[in-house]
Amino acid sequence: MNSNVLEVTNLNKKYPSFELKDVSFSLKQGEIMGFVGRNGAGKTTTIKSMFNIVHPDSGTVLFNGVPFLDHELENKQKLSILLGGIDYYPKTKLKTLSKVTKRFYKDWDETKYALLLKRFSLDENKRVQELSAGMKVKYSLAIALSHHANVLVLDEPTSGLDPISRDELLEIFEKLVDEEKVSILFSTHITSDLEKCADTITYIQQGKIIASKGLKDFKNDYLFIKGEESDTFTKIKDKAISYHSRHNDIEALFKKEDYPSNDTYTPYVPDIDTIMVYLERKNANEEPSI
Amino acid sequence: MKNLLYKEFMLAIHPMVWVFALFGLMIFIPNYPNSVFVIYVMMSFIFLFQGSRENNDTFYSALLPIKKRDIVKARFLSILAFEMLSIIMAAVAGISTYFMGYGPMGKQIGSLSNGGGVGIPPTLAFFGFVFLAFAIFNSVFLNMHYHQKFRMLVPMILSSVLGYLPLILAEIFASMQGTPLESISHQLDVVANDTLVCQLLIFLGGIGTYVVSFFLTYFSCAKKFERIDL
Repeated sequence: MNSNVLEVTNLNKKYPSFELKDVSFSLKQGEIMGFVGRNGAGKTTTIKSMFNIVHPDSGTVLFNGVPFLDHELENKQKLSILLGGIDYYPKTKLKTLSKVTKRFYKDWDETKYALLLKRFSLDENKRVQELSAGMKVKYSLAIALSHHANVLVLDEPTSGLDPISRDELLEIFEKLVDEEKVSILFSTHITSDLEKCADTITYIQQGKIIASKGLKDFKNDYLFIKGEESDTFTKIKDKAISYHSRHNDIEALFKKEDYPSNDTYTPYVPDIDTIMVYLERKNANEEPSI
Repeated sequence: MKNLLYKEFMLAIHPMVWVFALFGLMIFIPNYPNSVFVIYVMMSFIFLFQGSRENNDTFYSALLPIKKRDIVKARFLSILAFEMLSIIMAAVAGISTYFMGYGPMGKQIGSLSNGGGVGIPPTLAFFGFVFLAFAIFNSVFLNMHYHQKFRMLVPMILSSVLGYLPLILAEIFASMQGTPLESISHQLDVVANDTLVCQLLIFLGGIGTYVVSFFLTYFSCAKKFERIDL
């Protein structure tokens, strides 16, 4: 349960207008990791850099304990990457796509594939474009599990799904981790998904990992206050990561260790959505005003 | 590689590429320039590359457990297969017209003058020029496509025009009967003992250029593709 299936160390990639800076985190076997950050923070670039889809300037990635690049072909047999839903060969029938895809995998399990199609109610005679966004993710999962991938990397798999489909998909993730012992890294900006199923959170901000830890630990690092503006707030607001005040109402996020104790406000542990909004608000505050 | 070629033929290759490869049989059409099929084959590859782009084939392939350069190799082999298929079709048609009496033989016996046709008949020299045309097309189009992040339209137009140039020259030189350049015309479009060496040299030169440029283009494009950030 505790061995790392994925270990990313000091991954760097520089573009003219964006940079991944020393990205490091690890994913354990049987773990669901939420990879979170606002749009453009570097989630997709990190995933692409990890698996040689773009070429990192430096850094190492250990996959199932071995350097990914040194054993790329063997490693890809155990890896499934889904970048923003399957949007390739939209006019092709699933059965044709599967017939082609399965030839590349040594451990393809036809029986399991048939079972998964049934379990996910996928009709092989449908074309890719006829599938809903949720069904497309399910199809990718069916392919991944049929070639016995033990690491699933999903980039925004729940984007564009309605709440019910998202919930259904998250439940599938949980079952896969419990039953199939796979590990899942999924990037998202829909933080409520993480509250439901993530074991760990890796937060990326402007190409830099600012936290990678258990969900509870991550949330417990912050305190949030909400209430009426007061003299106390005037005194403590400089300690806040960021705050919002309007019409005498205030909201502020603090690092737990920076929170000045007082009798005016009752701090509580915020949800990830609040943390994300206020962390990014701080970032916006640092930029020159328009 | 077998699996990647299977993927090319099952998913990537548009039916129109097959159709245009069969245009080599256009040599059967009397009074029609024999070299025209080449331009159709060149243009057909726009279906292959445009289709691949629309279907995100590069991403689909890049995520499979294969070497990146093999993606390029499979695409090159597909192009090779269709160019060869079109040449085989043209050769079958050319040889058939020879026996039917309105091809090169017709011209030799002075009865029909290329079956009443225009331009260069399907002689060995003609096929040498066809290989040369494909060699230029492949080098220009594929190098530009892979080196300029999968650009399509300008490389396709430029490579087709440049690739077709040797055939235009061949058509012009083959039509010089009655001019001071008649001897060149004779060498290109008559099947006879005195033209065999010249035609064989053009044919082998065409094949040699095709093979060498094919490998050089492949190595250059594969290297570039491996370095591209997708």
